[in-house]
Amino acid sequence: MKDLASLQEEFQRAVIDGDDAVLAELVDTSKENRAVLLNVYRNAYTERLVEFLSNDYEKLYAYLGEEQFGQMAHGFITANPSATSNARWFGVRLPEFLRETEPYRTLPELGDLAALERALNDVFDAPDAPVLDLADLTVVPADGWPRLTFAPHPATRRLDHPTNATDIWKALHNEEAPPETKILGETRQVIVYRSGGMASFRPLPSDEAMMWDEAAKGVRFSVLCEMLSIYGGEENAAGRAAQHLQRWISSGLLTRFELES
Amino acid sequence: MSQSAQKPEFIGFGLGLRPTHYPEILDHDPSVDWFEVISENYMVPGGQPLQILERIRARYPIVMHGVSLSIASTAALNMDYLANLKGLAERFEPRWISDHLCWTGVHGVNLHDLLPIPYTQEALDHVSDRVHQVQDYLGRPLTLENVSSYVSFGRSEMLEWEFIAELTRRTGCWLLFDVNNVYVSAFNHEYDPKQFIDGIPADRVLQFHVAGHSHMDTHIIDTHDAPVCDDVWDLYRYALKRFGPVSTIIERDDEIPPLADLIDELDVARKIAADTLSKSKTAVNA
Repeated sequence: MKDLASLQEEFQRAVIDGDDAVLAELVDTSKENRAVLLNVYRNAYTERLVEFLSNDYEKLYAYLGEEQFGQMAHGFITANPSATSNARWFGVRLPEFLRETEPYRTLPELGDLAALERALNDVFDAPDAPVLDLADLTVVPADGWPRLTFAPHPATRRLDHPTNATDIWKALHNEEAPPETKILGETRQVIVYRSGGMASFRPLPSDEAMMWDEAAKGVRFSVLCEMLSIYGGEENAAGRAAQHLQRWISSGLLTRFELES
Repeated sequence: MSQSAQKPEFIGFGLGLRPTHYPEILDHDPSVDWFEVISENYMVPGGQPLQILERIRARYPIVMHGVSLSIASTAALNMDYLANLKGLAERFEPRWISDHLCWTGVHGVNLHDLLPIPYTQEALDHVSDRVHQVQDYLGRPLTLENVSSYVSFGRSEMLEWEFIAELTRRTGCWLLFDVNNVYVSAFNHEYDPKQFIDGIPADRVLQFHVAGHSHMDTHIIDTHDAPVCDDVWDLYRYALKRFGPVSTIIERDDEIPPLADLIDELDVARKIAADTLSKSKTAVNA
């Protein structure tokens, strides 16, 4: 007789791959055949994982509709059996799956939409950390500003979208018909963040996106101002940098500053 | 860990905590004695879920109920999961920690289901060892729930309740006795659910679940998407007579109704318990 480990392997294959070998271990009841009863587990497996995905990617679900989402989800589940003890993380690879797998890779708005939903989920329950306040900066002497560096709050994500997926998201959010997909001439740069406990996002003007990406690497404020002057013209580069910084702070995008020596 | 660990006190009638009810709970302090929380829902890095749980915990006792311990799996214990569970318990101080007498996967795969085990000596030895390991790690007794099952194994050497009774004897674990699951499994495997209840050591039962299910004619599926049916309430009465007052929740995971409806259903449980226990004159369990 097989040991418990072999029996569990066989049962798991029955549920995931449809292998029938485990039926030899099961018994019929007077009311029902063992194969029908085993199917309760098989059906529940797929239904539950599809439900996890539709909960985490509800706009993608609304965009594709139940049938197409179901087909896509089955493909994902087959390629990515769950390896996590927490349903929260089961679908985290869905954006990559959509960008890498036919036929979805030819519809780039799907990957963008999924990436946006994943980022919103991720910032929602990202680690807590202090939020930098404008008042915190009052201790910085005027001649210290060039040496300032900033750390992004852990509940922020930066996305680059070649499509108008954010417009599609907004339309679906407002329960309106989504616009036609557009491949944008210029990548749409988006910041996703947590505000008042809720996940939110906004597109970034290209000079602000550049400044954010550099600031997130720890580049000091004086260099950020220089980069802005090269990128967007010399006129009032420091003022524009200060405006971006002020907006980041008021949106809770930063957790702390450091004054480099 | 031994059976000498003191039994947690009776905490009354509670509900499973569901995010859709957060605002009403926080705004209105509803008349619920305690909440059972799904442990995994709070195994996240931060943000609102944990902050809300902190606020609710400040007002109500909680119990942590997991779905991924996989105590009967032949895969190695997931120590990352256990570390998360222990950390969560240290932060939120639940009255007890429960999970299911089942396995959820092997070879690094999680089927996210409560899978059945054969009731054999081999399985009993295996699960007993694992319960000891988990209890030693957590530093407290574990509470295990009987699951609904749809298949049974020809190799089983004992009945489900005999397996559970022996497991409690060997490990000192407590039992979360799911009345609906007994009803479902008894129908599916064609035995008398009262026989199950009679076979369970009364002093180990710490909590009841009552819930709804879906009847498929030849079998019943434990869907938790409907009100508790009369047959399950009848079985609840029988369990109360045998086990005495036991902390109880209504468990609802799908088609979740407004909180007020669940509180009404909880009041049915309160009334049944009061009526049944006054007739049977059972003392409040210690």
